[in-house]
Amino acid sequence: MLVSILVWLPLVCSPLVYLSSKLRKGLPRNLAISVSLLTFLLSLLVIGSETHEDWIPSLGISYHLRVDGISYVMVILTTFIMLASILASSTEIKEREGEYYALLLLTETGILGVFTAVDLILFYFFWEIVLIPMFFIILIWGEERRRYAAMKFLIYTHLGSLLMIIGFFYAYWSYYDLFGKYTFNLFELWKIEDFMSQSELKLLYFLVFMGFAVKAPIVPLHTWLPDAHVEAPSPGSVILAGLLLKMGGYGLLRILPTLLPETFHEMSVLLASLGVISVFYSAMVAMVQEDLKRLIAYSSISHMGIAVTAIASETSLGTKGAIYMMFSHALINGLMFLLSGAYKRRFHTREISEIGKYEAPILSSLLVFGAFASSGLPGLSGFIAEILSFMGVFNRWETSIWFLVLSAVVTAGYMLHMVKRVVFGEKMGEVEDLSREELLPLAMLVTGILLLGLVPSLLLGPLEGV
Amino acid sequence: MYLEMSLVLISASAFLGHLFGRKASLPFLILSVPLLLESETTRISHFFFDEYSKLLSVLVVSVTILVSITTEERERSAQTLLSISALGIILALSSKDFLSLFVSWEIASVTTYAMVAVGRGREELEAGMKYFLFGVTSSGVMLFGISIIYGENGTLSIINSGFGIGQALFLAGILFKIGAFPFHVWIPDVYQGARSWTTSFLAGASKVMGFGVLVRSSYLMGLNGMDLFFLLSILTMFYGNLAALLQKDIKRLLAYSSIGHAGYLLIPLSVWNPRALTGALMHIVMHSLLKVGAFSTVLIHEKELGRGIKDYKGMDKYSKLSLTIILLGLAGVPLVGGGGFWSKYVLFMGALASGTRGLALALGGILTSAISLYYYARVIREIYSTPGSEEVPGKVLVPLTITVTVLLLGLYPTPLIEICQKVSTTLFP
Repeated sequence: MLVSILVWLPLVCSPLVYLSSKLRKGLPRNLAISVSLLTFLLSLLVIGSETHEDWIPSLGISYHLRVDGISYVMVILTTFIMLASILASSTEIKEREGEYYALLLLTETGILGVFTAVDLILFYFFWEIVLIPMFFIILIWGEERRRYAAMKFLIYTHLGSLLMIIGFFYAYWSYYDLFGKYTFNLFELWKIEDFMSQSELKLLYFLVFMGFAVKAPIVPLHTWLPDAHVEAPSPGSVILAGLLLKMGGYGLLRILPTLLPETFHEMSVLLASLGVISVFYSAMVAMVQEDLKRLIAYSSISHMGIAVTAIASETSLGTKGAIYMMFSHALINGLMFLLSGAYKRRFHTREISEIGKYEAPILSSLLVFGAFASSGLPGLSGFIAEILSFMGVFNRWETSIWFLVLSAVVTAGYMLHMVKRVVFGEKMGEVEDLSREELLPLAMLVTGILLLGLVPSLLLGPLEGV
Repeated sequence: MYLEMSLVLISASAFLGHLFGRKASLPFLILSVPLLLESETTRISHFFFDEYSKLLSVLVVSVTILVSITTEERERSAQTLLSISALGIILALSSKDFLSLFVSWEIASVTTYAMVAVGRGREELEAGMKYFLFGVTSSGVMLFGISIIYGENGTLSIINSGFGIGQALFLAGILFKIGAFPFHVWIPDVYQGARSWTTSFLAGASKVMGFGVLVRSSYLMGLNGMDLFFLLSILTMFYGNLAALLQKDIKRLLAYSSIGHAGYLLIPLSVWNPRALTGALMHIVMHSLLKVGAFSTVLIHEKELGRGIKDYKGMDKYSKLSLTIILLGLAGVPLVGGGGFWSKYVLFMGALASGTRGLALALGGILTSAISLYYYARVIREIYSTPGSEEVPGKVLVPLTITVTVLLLGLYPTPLIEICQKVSTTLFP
């Protein structure tokens, strides 16, 4: 029951938020903040909650939500990042506030649903909901090339999801043929695997994999990401990087191995190689970016590559590492995107060579903090994430030690290179530093990064037994 | 008893509409809906009214009501034509005999020719002429097919007698109506040229007749599951959706999307299983509602905005919202697209139950569906590029009603699915 309330609360409140814009300017924002705060508090209590009702019994579709360890962590991540990005919105979103906050809350329902759904159709239902509000957020409040970016984002991810749902139907009918029962329950459907031929299994794997790989994203399916992330308003980028990519990661971690355990094992080397390619390719590309936000977008792909490789290792440590990586990456990249937004507001550009010319002590120290966290400095969350992932991968493939060392080097490489150009260049004057309004969400994210870096048991506790 | 009463009410609404206008005809039309719902399976000589005809008839009458609300008050002939056409469609949907089928089919068709041509503008006359010529030719072809079948079988009942030239010509006549690929040529021109309420009716009711008669007669003639339908289905869905990408006029775009949807509606005929038929029945219901919603929004804003997609901005906020939801429904997006999602996916899911051919159809379906989201999103992008006007036209109530219905069906589609399942099992003894 609790989980139902949690998932639907934002959606139910979103029309109210929209209508409240008529009453007074600023009211939608306050309402949205209170709703997301309430959702955040609710999400802390939600572990172990489950709802199971019939939805469309004749097709075997049920309304089945459940929160276990992994879901719990992802749900908390969602509500936390959502709160931070709503808090961060007021500096950037001045027009059509009602619509904006209503759309954000709609997105929140979708993402929470994805992380808790057990029934695959319900999962797909929530998965696709997320697309539409994000499309509008990029389209209406984005930057210069927003029209192009919004379309690309919509079509790319929609096509991926459609292949995925065909995969789900395929599994559904195979199950029906074998057991004579209609079901979309994830924890039932895996039984088909023993009875299907290799080629059928490969096809099924491919179909479902495509949906997740586009979202995660895995190189070479990543091309929508730099455009969407760069053109979205910075709170939107925070959600894109912090939550939407995690939907792909969650699918790879949760849905695919549960549905096709054997095939997943067979394909894991391939998946790991794709992950490694993602890490290095996007780190190289990030190295030469002139636009700060684009650089951060590529670093997202790179970090998700580490998570994907850790998932492919199929070890307990690797899985925990991947989840830790996703959580910590959401915090760190959220921080970085908000900072790049702050730079943009001050200089009207994000060219690294331009913004490096002026001083702003708090802003640049936060940037340095974020860059260190991103490259895995001990004491910050990125470090634990990398160590766990690397240990997991190492347990499975010992030769991978070279990859681990190198990837740590390249990640640190492009981040430090960027810091050097932005913060330690020659200065020509000062600009206005961060205001209190801007600082609040940043402080939230920084606290998160520090907490997870110093007290890893906060996250590893609920993940016990994964 | 109820069936006869409702038919009488619909005829009465035709006359009263002509004499006193919409205010007199609408109550009769509305009253006929519950009567149709109550009526039992009836057989009057060649007419056979069962669950299948009931579902589609109720849909047609509801569409007629919605369309009739959007017409101009002074266009009295419109009311008459709409009601008579609806009557013809209901009769055609419940015919089990070539002769009665052809007669009712013509009643429904001739009234739509008049509807298209009744305007005064050059464009309407041109569209009317085109539609009339194509329509009459197709009816001739159909009649010719019927006469060959009659010559072979010696009976006018629709029975299973294999596939020959007669059956092929008969099918061609029907496929013309639903706008399947090689027979689609009239659709873009006529949908664009006719006034928008006529287009709503063509897309929302005439197509139902084509689909209903096609499924029923190919079932009775034992033609379902033919390879021909597979080919037509794939070609139609790709042609319609790809051609829609190039359109600059909103009505033309919706016309091509209608052709694309005809391709989806042909899926159950090539993979003949109850699940796919359930999906197709749901899809024809959703498609009719959504297309009526879309064309009536176009109608409401035609004067101020024109029809170019590039100029499609500055509507009031209710129209914006409802058109967005309707277009997303046509693309089959869950929740915000409402029931459009369920109909499409139950259909594709049903297709997948039938082996490789089903897989090909489902993959074709999702691929074209992704393409369709692109051109719908292009329209949505324009709609939201400027803040809207404050003025809200009263007729916006029609698309809004449809939007709310569609959204509710998106959250709880179970009743619709169950009705369609019940109906589709009647064709699977």
